[in-house]
Amino acid sequence: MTKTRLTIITALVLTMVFVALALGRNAAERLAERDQRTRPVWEVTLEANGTFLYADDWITTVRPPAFRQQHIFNERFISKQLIHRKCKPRIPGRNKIIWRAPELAGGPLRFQARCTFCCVLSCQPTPAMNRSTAEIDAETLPGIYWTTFRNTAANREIAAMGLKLVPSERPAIERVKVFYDYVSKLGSHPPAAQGDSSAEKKRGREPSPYAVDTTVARASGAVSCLRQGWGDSRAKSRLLVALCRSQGIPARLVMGLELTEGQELVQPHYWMEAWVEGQWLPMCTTNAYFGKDELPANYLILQLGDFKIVRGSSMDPEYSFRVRRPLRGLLMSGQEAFQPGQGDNPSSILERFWQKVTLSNLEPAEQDLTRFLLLFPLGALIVSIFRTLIGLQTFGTFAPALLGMAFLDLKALPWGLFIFLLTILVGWGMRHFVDRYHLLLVPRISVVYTSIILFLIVMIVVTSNYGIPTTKYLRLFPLVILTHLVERFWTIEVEDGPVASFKTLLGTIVVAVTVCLALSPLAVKNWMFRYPETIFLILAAQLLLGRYTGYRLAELYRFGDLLEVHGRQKGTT
Amino acid sequence: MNWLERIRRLRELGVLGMNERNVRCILDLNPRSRFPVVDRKQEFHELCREIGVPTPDIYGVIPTHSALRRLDNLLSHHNEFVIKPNRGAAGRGVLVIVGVLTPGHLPREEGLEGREKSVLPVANAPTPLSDVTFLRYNGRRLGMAELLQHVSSIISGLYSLGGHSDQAIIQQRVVSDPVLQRLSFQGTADVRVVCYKTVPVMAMLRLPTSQSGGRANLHQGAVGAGVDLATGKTFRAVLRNHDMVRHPDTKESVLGFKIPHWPDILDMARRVSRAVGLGYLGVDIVLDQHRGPLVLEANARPGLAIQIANGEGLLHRFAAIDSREISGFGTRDS
Repeated sequence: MTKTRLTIITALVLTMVFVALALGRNAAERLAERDQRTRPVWEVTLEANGTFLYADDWITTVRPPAFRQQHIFNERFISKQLIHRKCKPRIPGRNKIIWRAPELAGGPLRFQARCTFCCVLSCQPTPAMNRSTAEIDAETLPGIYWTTFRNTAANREIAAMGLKLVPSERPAIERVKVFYDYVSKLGSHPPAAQGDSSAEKKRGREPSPYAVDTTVARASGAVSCLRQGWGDSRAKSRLLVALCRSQGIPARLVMGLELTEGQELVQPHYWMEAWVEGQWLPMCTTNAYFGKDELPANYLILQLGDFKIVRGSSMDPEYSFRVRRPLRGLLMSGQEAFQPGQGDNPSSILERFWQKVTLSNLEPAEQDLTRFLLLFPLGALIVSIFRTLIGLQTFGTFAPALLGMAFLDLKALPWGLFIFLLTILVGWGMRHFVDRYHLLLVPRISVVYTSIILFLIVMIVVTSNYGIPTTKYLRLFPLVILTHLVERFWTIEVEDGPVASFKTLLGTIVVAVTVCLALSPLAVKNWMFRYPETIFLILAAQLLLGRYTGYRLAELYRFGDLLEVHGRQKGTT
Repeated sequence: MNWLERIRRLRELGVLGMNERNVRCILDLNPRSRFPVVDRKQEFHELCREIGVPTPDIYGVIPTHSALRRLDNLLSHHNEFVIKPNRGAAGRGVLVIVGVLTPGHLPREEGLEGREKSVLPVANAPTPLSDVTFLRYNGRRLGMAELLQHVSSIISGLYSLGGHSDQAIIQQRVVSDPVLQRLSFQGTADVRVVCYKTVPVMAMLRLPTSQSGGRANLHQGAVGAGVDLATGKTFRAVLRNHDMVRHPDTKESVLGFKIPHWPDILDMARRVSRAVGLGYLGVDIVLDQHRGPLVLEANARPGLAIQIANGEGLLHRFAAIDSREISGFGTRDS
């Protein structure tokens, strides 16, 4: 009894820890929320539309770096037609997503890809943000990317202009300022007469109302800007970058968005940074901001360097940016987790503490992993409930939970189950076949394992020929646990008969499906991510289950005969 | 009957559930460190011999592949024996040899039928073992090479569930008492006595059926007959959790059967559970034709079907023992 009491006390303590942490987090969040009125959360969506013509077509889309004081979280990449992959940036500050078609089912493929993320500008940097800031804003040495300046005829024109503006003996900061002043004075729009002959009109094509027509790229180059004497924000920033680089000053183009309230559809905005006196000096020639202090807080950086926002292998897709403030209700429903510290003065120790232990401070990739990992305890709890309260027999202890998490989402559940059953049956047949050879345990399991993998590969190849991408429905990797299940299935069949083994298989499927159903709602994932302390609550529940001595549901029927006989005997005596 | 009603009545009957068995009996009463004593057949055999409880003889142990050479010598003295893995479970890897045939004395096929199988021409003369044929319980024959292969598989861990390398044990073959043979189909019937804090609390007679494949496990389809502790008479029987009266294969009534040597059986169970040091223990006892009751093995996690076989729960009996205030193991009880 003392052991039971100890368990109950521990469970109570864990529950209290959970309550305390959750309340503390809530309180700190409320504090932070007050700040949010002045330092808002933005939700930005980049949508790309286009058509793939060839099977190996791809597009890349920009992905904002989380660095300096801009915090990025809740990134989502959604496309019905394409699958995406995150790339490690080769050039610091140029993160991107590659989208490919899973298969080309004949003919061109129209696609829509959407990248959505939330961001907070000018917040207290998290350790992860500091790391990437250190990388992106590292010291620039001559010869690296940001200094590249090709010696072509057009570029010589720019270099000559640079020399004409200011002699190269002057200190870098002074020269940059002169260039900046020069470019700032250039017009942003063509004189009225020139407007008719702009590139878009020449091609006889109505530009779509919101898409950025990429065919004008050449017209917004540095040289044409210099010659024409006017240019948009990109052309002017490019000219300034070129001027700096022609004089040996490293410079880079910056692409981003100006986030303003009440404006949904935004055009990308360009400015630039020059490496002066050991740091990157930002300048916006369009809106005339010079230096860090003048640059407003609503400039979101999407990309550093002169790269396309959306690039395709064989075509340039149309794209658009949409910006909105997520509704407050959405924030509260766990759509996003607690924000890292806002502004310069985290108001209290409590708040500072929570900034440290908030999962959304992690790098986006780590956030994904954490989200996934946090689901495991819940899965384990569900298995414990099935085993101790209901008395369902399953293969292995946590194999059903893993299996449930292998099914990607509800829509794919029937398909995933079908693949699972098929694989089990194939493995089982293989096991029977292998039994003849009287192999030792580990080599025998390896044989079954290899044949399951072989089967899976054959299935992937066959189904993809019919245009069904299997990987869409199932995380194939956890299916490796199937080997274990096959072995258990076989053992039970040999020892207790096929009825028992199929019953156990059914039990396994029931648990797996329940786990899948229980863990798939977004609300569950968000809750766990927002309140990771829920793990303490789960732990408490598991502890209590560990000392549960009541009957299992199945036992009420197992001992059914006992009840009847006893009733009969009672009647007769 | 709804669930609550069922729960209430099961409580009334004092039925022990699986969770309660695991928590109250196994986790709280059976220290993990004592498990190997009952899980390893050889260690258990030695313990039985130390305390003077009769148990089937072990003719020899083949611990390694290199010891396979000794097999020749070991087997030359015995005509009936059982080869089993030391840490096997649920009867896997058990090979029952009922006769050794020399090349000159091949018996006719008809002679192999029925129970006379065990009385077969015997190799008295030192015939080289490579020439002999072993006769299995199910009537099949086995050459020396095949026998060696089987022992080698056992040592390699083919039959131990964890896949660990194991040892092969060559044990005396138990020939069931004829009274029990009449009741059961193939295999060896045994008596399972459950001891709580070293006191026998419940017993049942387990009779193999064709369904159970000669094994005496209830969940594999063997018949379980509740035994009155005081008299040693069976009074109720179950097959797959359901009441029954006649053995499905032999059609003999299994009720009202008095188990021979009953007081000895209870005494043996008591002594074994004291020596093993487990608070909740199932002791399996077989009745040998010649030697009488022998302790075959013990189980640290005895199942709950014994309650159905006895038509009664274990909890009331546990409570009675607890209230006698026996302090710890090994103390006297009456």
